[in-house]
Amino acid sequence: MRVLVVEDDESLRSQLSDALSKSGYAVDGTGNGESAEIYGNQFPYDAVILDLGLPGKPGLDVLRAWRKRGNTTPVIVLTARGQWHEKVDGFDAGADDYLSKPFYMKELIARMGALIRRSQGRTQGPLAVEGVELDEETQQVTVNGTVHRLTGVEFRLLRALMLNRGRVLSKERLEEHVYDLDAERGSNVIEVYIKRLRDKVGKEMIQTRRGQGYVFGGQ
Amino acid sequence: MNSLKARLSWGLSASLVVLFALQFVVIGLMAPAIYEDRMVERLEHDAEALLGALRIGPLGGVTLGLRQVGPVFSRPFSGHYFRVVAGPSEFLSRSLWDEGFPDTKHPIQRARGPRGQPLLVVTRSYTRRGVQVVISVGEDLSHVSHAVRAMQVQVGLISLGFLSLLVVLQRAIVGYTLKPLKRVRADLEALERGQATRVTEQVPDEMVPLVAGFNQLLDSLQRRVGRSRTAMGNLAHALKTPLSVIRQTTENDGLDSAGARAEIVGQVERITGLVERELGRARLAGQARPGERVDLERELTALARAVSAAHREREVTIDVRVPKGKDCGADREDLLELFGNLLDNACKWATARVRLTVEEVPGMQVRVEDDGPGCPDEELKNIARRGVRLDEAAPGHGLGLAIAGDVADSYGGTLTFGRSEELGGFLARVTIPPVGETEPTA
Repeated sequence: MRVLVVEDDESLRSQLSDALSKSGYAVDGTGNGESAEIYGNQFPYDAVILDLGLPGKPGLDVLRAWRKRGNTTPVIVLTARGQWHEKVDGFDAGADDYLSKPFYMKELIARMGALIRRSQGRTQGPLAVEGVELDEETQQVTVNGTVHRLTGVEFRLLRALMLNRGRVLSKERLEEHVYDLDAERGSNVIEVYIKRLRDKVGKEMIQTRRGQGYVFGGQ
Repeated sequence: MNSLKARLSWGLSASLVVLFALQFVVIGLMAPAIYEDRMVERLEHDAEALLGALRIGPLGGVTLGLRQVGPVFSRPFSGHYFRVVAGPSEFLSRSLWDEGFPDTKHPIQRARGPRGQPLLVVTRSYTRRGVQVVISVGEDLSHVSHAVRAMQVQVGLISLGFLSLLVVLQRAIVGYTLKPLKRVRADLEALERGQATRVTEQVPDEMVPLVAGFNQLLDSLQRRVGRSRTAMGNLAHALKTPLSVIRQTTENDGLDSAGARAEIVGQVERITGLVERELGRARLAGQARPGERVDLERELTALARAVSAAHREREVTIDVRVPKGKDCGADREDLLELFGNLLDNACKWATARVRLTVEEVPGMQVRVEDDGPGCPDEELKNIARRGVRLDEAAPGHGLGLAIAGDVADSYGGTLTFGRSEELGGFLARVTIPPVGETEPTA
């Protein structure tokens, strides 16, 4: 899953990026309102963390511009402006959640997880498909009672596949979910990780569709 | 022309000038008519006199006794002329010299006389001893227009004198009228120098709203500055304790021990609470701007939307009940902060329902209640007290309620807590007294 962090304070942005990466998200970051708007329009993010006081374009204007274009990506507003009249304005502009600084990273990640789950129509609880259970907190997968550790990329890849079970995911789509903008992308990296995942969750769980991509779930 | 004084002076002077000019013209138009009326009367007299001077003999011979007619009719081109026609005889005044008397058709008519003199001619017909007598008397009109012009000049000169006098008088009146403005300006200057705190309200009725509004603004700004200053002072003071605890912790234990970390986390929480509370207090307006009304239904509905969005995973419904058209003379941001904190707290504890009810009374009476576990009676006192002293406020807990209490406080209102009768959970009741006469009477 891929998220956008819009925050003009660099140290806070890198803290956010680190924490989110550790939780298994591909993270893009920017500190400028205008580029944030362009990023948000261009890439299929699963969630956006948006500061309000931004150089270039105010955060609320960026949010309104997205919503006007019909962009429904879940947005958490993260700001020092914590007064209720400001929250009212934030929700009116189309925010899905509002967290005021100072905040706890754990709370932010939990709320973002909840927001993404909600936007995908899921309820709380571990992600489980046909005996394969993915624990998003520990980033471990349990297959028929056996626990396997996952690397960061493996976790993201498996989560993307499990979230879209039964649907064909192209290699490009998977790459978008796994890598952020800065990552180097090899041509057959996805294949390598798919093979590793098959070793852990069972070969029949991930099927290859020639020329189309991969499908999760044995038929 | 942006000066009141100039506007008044010019306006008044211009209207006076127009008035006098009109008078001048009217005199010019009316005076000749009056003169002519009098002239006609005189000419009629002359005609009667001429008739009296006429002698008709028993054989029909007619003579005119010239001695009985005034000498003006004898002096050549004197401006006074006559013609008497009695039967076959015709008599002309000697003043005509050898020029003819102009022919006329109407009893009173203007005509051109000898040497081109403009004449007013009165013609009368009589019958004496069976003889038809027609007498025409004419008089030169040119001296009338001279007289009128002379009168116009006289009246004009007198008017001019009056005009200058009135203008001077008006300036004095305008100056006197605008004197209170000067006083206000002097007050403002004193205000700027810090020698006064408000502007005198001893001003004419028309200026009272302006000055009162200004003073109200001034008061609210002063209160705000006062509050900010107090808040800053409190904050600076209160921050020192947690900061020194943190410093001690880093010096003594080093940062590796779990105890030190917990201590620092606790102190950061405390600092966060202090900042929220004190800066929140400093931000309060504590009063509506003059004339500001908040539409409670619209604002509270929007607020409820925001609060329930912030608590989406709790699936609590917020029921907002506001009487139609109810508004409130308070700062919008203050109100949202007050009810935002109360609703937020209610949503945290509620099982499924939160209700906000605005009572239909002057001022404001609002209940915020939920269907959560509520609060034991002995705890209620503690919560109420937390609002009073900052140092006693338990970090993180009841901070929202304390802030709500600060807002209610700044409007001279109260925030009390209890148990909801209908929903069974926590009840917060806000009472804000009406502000003077600006409250709706409904």
